[in-house]
Amino acid sequence: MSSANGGDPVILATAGYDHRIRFWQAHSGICHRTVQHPDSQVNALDITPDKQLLAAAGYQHIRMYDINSSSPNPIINYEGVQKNVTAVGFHEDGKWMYTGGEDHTAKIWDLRTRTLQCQRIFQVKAPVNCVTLHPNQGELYVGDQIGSIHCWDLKTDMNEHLIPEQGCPITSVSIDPMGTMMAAVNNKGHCYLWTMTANRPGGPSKLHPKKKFQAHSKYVLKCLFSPDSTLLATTSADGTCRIWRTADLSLRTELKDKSQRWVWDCAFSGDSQYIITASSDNNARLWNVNTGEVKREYSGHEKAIVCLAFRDEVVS
Amino acid sequence: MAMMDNVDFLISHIRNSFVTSDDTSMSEWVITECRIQDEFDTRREGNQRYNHNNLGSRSDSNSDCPSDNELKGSMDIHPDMDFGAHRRRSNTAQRLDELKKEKRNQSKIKTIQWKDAPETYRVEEKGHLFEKKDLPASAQLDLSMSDGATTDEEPSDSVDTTKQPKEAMSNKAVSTLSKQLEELEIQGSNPFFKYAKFDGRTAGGQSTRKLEIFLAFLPPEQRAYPMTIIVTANARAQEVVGLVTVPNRGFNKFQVDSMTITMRELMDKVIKKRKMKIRQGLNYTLEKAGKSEAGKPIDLDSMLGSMNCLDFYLIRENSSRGDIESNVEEDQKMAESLMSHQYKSFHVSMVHKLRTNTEVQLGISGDKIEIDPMSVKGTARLFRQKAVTYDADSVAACDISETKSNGKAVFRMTYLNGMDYKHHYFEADQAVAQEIVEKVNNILELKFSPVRKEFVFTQERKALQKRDSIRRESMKSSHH
Repeated sequence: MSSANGGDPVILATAGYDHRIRFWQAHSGICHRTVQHPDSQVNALDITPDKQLLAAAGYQHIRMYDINSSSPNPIINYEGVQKNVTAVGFHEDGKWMYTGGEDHTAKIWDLRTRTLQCQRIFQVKAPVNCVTLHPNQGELYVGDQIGSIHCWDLKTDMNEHLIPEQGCPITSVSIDPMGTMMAAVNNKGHCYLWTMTANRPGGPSKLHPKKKFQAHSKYVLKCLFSPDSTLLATTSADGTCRIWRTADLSLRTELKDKSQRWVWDCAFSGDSQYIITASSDNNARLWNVNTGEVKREYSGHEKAIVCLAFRDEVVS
Repeated sequence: MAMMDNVDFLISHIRNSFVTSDDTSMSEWVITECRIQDEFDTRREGNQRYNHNNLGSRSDSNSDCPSDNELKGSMDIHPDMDFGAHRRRSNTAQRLDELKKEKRNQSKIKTIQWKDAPETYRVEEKGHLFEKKDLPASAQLDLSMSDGATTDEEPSDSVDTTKQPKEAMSNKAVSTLSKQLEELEIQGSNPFFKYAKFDGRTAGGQSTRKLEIFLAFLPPEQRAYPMTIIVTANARAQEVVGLVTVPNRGFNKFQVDSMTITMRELMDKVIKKRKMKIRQGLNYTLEKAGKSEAGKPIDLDSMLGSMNCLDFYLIRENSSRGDIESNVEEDQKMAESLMSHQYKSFHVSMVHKLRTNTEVQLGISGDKIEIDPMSVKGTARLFRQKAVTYDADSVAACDISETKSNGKAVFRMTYLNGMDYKHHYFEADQAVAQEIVEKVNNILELKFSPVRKEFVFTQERKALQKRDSIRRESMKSSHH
């Protein structure tokens, strides 16, 4: 996970409705590269664990861009998906990629070979809004439009689901890096929290409901635990991002800007001191988590930014 | 009334019939192409008719040639406005072009289709591909239940340390981003960074404008260089000014292919770009931007990615930032060649074979050369020089043909007219003539158009032939 490949240790990419993906120098706010994403908006972004490729999920495609080149075009195009791809992510060793989409499925794509060894598909009854990989790399949590969270154990192929609130679309699910907590948010502004345990090594995780609280008055779009597991960020259609302490779920900071509109996505710095948010006002922002002030604005997109991908490194 | 043997009328009629009944608009595309060729032919023939008293006409009934309107054909086809290089493309042609371009790009992209796994998933066969990793926290929780059945489990002594990273992370850990932010804070950031978003070089397909800006406040030897910036088309004047201030004195920005480039390669790029002459014994090095970094050369063999910085100063060894030394004469030469494409006009006399010289204004720019007559009272109308413009691409050569004792010089400009090279002779003061010849040659050198290429090639061949024939002559004479 180091910069052994010689690439930039910090990578920030943003995308949304203007059919372009921008790469930023995170600390200065300068955009150093823009690539085309033809024909469709970008719904989700992620960076491969080796930091070589950026995956962009759009309508019927997942496109891969070489992070360390200057080409404006993608190098790999994954297709054969019916509708919008809404989620994308990777196994930590880069063995496979997972996606979720409006075609009611979560998919696992084999990345290493053409033998399709890892190729898997998981069918649900509604469009998939979000897919999260448990840090143990063996369980996928799939949130859908009719309010279910499906826990899919990849090895045993067993699955179970839970419905925190009937009929309220699950917009985002997050699991903390230690694998001890899970959070989910919905379109009513509610946030649900569980504690997680594995009752035996390699066995399925068990969820114990811990708390339900009103995180925002409107639609919540994303929830995310900080790398040190002490904070939980929620972003909302109310134009704010709120940072909660996981210990007691008290509000740590509210990140608010007059011109900010829907806040779609966020990412913490490696040391949990900063957070980057993406908003419909065409800007992404870097905030100090402790003071709540905007440190940088990433402006250049011509339409709403709805997703971002960020990689940082912990140096000491 | 037009006779049915009139070719022009027939073509026009067929076109109209096609266009009005064709839904695919393919005919429009095809016909538009032909039409231009035809019009060209017609025009030439028209001239012939005029010149040769009708011998080359395609119609017997030329006396009642249909009116211009009939010849124009369909109202739906308007190629005439865009005749030449910038002819407007029909929708179909544009669409075809786009498809072609897309296909070209596509061929570089590896496409992978989703395929379902060949057989249904069975844990025994593929379970190993989806093995779960033990997390420190859960490993601790599960310690009591661990029976050693799983072989890839962490040794239990690691458990004691598992709690520590969590605390260490929340207290001490610093990320690269935090470090970079801190460093930038110390250096003080460029207040004009907010204008960097108007930089067209990273606009990725947005429409942009290229501007060359001369900075009047620079020292004279640098003032002559235009600074080229590319701005996004939506930038306002104020924002352009902002962008100009981002690149400061002697600023070069590079797009590098990867962060693995070494600083030495980067420095070589800068030196090349700035066309600097490296004299022996003079070494250059780079320093990071920021006051605190002044006088601290960086290791040139380290990689850009490891610098945490993207702005550097190029410093000559044993010197420091701030002193500008340059070879003024050389700079000016360079500036001249850089500026040769800019319009400049000269007052010269045009030399004619059979009559007295006329005063003309010779306007030279990167695109064209204009000869405009100066109005001189009393010149007979008959002898007045017409204004002409030559495309710079049709100019083949320009050289001094004669230096006179009265301080004047005659220079010759060769251009291609149809299939032949023709000349214009001009007379001016030697210095002016010299300047014009240099300017035109700079342009020719930069453009190196097909006409110029052909001319140079022909000249060389002629010279060769001449040499050969001289040799033959001398051989002949030695035989005798």
